[in-house]
Amino acid sequence: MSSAPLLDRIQSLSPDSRRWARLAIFLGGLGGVCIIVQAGLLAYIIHAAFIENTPREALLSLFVVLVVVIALRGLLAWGREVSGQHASTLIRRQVRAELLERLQIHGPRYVKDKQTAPLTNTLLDRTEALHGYFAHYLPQKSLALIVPLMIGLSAFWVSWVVGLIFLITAPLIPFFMMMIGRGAEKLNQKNFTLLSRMSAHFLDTLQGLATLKIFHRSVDQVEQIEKSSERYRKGTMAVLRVAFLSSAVLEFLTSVAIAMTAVFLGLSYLQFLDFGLYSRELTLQTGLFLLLLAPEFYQPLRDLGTHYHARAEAMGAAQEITAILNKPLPTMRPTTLPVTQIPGISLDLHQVSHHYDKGRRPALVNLNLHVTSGEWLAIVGASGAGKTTLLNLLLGFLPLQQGEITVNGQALNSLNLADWQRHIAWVPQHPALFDGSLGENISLGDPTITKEELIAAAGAAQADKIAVTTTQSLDLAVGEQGNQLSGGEARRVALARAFAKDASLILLDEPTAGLDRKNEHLIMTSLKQLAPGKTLIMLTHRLDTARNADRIAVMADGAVIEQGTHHELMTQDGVYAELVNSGRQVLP
Amino acid sequence: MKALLPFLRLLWPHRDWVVWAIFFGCLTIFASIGLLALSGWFLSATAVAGLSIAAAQNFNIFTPSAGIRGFAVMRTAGRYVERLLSHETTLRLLSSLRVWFYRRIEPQAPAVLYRHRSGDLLNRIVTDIDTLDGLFIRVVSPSLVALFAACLVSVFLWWLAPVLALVFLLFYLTTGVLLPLLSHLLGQHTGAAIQHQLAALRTNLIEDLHGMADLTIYGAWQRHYQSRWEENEVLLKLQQKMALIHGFNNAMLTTLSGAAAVVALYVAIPIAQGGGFDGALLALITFGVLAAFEAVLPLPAAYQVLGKIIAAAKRIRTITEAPAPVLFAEKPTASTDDSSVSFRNLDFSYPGNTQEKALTSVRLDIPAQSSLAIVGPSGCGKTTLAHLLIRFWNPDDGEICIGGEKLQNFSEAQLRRMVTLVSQKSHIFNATLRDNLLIGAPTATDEQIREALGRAQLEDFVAGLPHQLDTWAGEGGSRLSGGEARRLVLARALLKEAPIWVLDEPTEGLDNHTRQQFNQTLFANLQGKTAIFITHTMDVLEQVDRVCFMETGQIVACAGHQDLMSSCESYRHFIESRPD
Repeated sequence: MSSAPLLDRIQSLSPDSRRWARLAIFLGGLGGVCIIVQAGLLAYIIHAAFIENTPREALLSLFVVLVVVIALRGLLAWGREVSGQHASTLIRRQVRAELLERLQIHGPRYVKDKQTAPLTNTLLDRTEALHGYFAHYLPQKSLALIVPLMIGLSAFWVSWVVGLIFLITAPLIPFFMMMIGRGAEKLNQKNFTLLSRMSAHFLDTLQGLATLKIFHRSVDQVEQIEKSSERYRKGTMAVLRVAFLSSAVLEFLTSVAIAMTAVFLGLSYLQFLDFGLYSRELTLQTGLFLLLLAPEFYQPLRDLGTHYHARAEAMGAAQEITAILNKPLPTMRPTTLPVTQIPGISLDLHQVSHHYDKGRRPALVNLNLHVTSGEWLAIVGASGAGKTTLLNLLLGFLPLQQGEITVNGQALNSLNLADWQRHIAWVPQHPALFDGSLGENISLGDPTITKEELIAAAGAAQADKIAVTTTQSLDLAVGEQGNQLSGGEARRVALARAFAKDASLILLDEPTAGLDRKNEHLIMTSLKQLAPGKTLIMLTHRLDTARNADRIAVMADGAVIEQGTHHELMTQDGVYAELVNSGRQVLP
Repeated sequence: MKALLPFLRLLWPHRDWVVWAIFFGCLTIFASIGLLALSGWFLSATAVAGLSIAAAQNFNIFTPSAGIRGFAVMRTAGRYVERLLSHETTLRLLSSLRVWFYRRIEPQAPAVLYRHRSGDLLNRIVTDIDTLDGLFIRVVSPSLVALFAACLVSVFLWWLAPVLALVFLLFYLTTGVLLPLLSHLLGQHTGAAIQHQLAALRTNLIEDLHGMADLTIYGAWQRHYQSRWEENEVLLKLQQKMALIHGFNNAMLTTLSGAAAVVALYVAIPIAQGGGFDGALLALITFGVLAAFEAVLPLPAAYQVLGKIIAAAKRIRTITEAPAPVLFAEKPTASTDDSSVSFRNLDFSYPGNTQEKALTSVRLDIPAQSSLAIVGPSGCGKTTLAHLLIRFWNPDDGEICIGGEKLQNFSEAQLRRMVTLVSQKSHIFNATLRDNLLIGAPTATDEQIREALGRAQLEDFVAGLPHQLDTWAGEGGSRLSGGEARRLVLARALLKEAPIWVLDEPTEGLDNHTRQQFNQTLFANLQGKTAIFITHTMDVLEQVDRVCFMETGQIVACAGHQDLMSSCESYRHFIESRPD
């Protein structure tokens, strides 16, 4: 039985879960005791009624005890299920919490790299897949040793021959477990690969149906589907023919143990055999007792086999989960320094460079930029000029690799990140919206924002379709991921967010993309009126939008190549002037 | 249950396998019961016989011990064969099921799929069909075997003493029918709540991860984290409640099967002692009843699966039983060599959304061998227009003509020969490059393939691959770069040699450089073809003969790009404010 270090690592996340797992094992063990008692009582009653001819009334109390023992067995099984569930609950709760915390630490860029859908899958489905292993398989793994041992010893105590019939297979138990394991694992793996391949083929065909239609090939695919499922059938059956053998062996052992026990005892009764009973008289009671124990001896092993798929599933899940948990944490910033707030925020970037991958063109190269407190700076540049990288550095989503960024004279690196982010309002190009009301999406649940502030912010964002003057429209539902709103409307909600947050630094990423002239003008006016003294940095590739700013910085190939007011730049006759004179308002 | 009929019917072609699988299932349970019961009787009989030497000597030991050995072997072999046969049946059903589904979905595709595309509909279909696979092995077979065991044991017990059969049936039916029903009723609400909670948690997690950056900056991550934590707690609580119900079911199963044997014994003792039957049968009855309950054990799971299977069957049937949106003429009544396209007063709204018109009175003539770009904000109807031309839908009103002939006069084969579609969504199959290309022309020779690759400027790339045309494209073409994938799609379309090309955002998602290069190749290949682009890309707009600007399902203006820029204010503004 190969150990599962990844699963051990996951279990160690919640030490308490071990206690529940132990309880499940303990209850299962008690259940084993009940099995032995039940067999003893049944055997005694039959013996008494048949051989001794004891009237039923005299056996009544035993019947009662027997029913109680059986009910107790049921209760113990119940308790086992519940405590197994508890163990699994503790683990899954802890895994989800740890995963989410790690994701928070690694930050939005990591989440974006790993993609939302697979991460959600890890957080939900893969974590759920741990359940069967911790709730059922793990306790059963211990019980598959404990219960047969108890039953074997009881058999031995009555008859060493029958004990031997059972226990001769005892050293084989780990061997058989391995066989079940290997068999089931092989079955699972091969079967699973085959099945997922076939499902994938079917899914692939359905996804490509439009394409197949265009080429008038969709009808031919029936044959392909037939072929692929036929291949799957043949492959699977070949695996199954072997895989079922291992459980057949257990089945065979159970049957043989019953048969051998019965024949041995029968021959002993008829006095053809006279050994193996410690010279005690063989009664019907002892015989039936032994016979009843025979199938129970192997039952825990068979149960283990049925839970085996849970192990395989959990192993797969554990790989994905630990891949995230084991990703080394970034070196923590000192969390002591708060941002000193001389009214407003000034920024200094000195020789800042950034590489994403070795071999790829660097995103920023020795960039120098000064932003004065309270000024409105537009950064223009074609896509790929490094604007977004610069923005991510300022937001704290990317670590600073080279150079220096200072905020009001303090190194950005030395600031408490959460505190720094409190001073920023950010309007991304594709803002995230959440299923809920418009108001909730503007405040994002911040309890310090009043309704009046919300209305004012929404009004300032010039959300025309969603012009918020009444409290009622704040309750407008935006739909899942804001799918009831257009891209332009979504950006206006994000603008309202920024207006509602009293931040000293406002970062805008393409604030006017997808807006018509009128709304663009209104929003620019709102931005100008926005409490003076705030520092505003606006990224855009539209020259006419940039003209609204106090100052313009032009970026190309990861550096600032020109900066100044519109007039200064025009008189400099550089890249900016050339672009404006070419009549193109939009950079590629 | 009625929802299952068409699926049960699919079992009919495999009836031989079904019958044999069930036969061996019954044989196995028969051997299981027989083994324990006979052993019990054997012990009792020999124990009595052993009391006197004469009886012991006369005891026929061979028949019963041979029987015991026989049952032991029969049980093992029976189980093995039964498992193989029922899996064989299932796998055959699986094949029929997929073919059946595909045959039904094919005529209505892709309309039905397009409309639901976002919601993972395809994944759900595949999962539903996987669920339906369990119909025989998890529901039909265990139910029938349990029924057999019930008949077998009760007939035997009835023969001994009718009251025993009644006791047995009472417990057996309680365990096999009432108990699953009860736990279903108990768990129904919780089970639905768990599904609901999982779905809610999933949607919210996706939103949160998607919006993590926004949440972080606005300090709202912690609040959202807290909400997810609470939702997770609710989920875990519900699951614990479910475990309680599940555990109750298991407890009752254990208790009832044990109690059945005990009560049977309790009832049998006075009958045996009164001479109703031989006392040695006491052990046989007790053990036989115990063993018979083995057949009931899979039933609760079977009923649970049955619920899922019925739900899956219903979902699948709503898809397969929808009417096909487009029926093609079997025999063509027209043919043309002219590749001009005209849309005449088209009106269209999507089924189920008749309030909102997707297209209103669209008139557009595209001369043969000319190129046109349709431009407009998303949702303006430009893709709908293209889909009507390739007859994924029929227009509500108006006509589409190719070479002056109405579209519905062509057979499907004809239309497909005339029109090809290259789109960002053109599917690359997880197959070899050759297989992907052969979809364009099944009979194409390697020579022709190489020529098409050459025209798509992909020849050098393919020649450089270790397995060349036998290279796997990967899932959705994942082993190809964006540019290579588009070129493969282009080469496939070139193999078909259609005179009319619809190009639906063919360069969406490519970077600037790759896009420009691809467009160069594309235009070089469009000589002499009628080309309809759906795109915003500047380099395309500047090269096509005419640009057609659409808004809210209507054509606003149609002219050359430069003319439109100067004459149409809304077009110019749209072009300038593209969120690139």
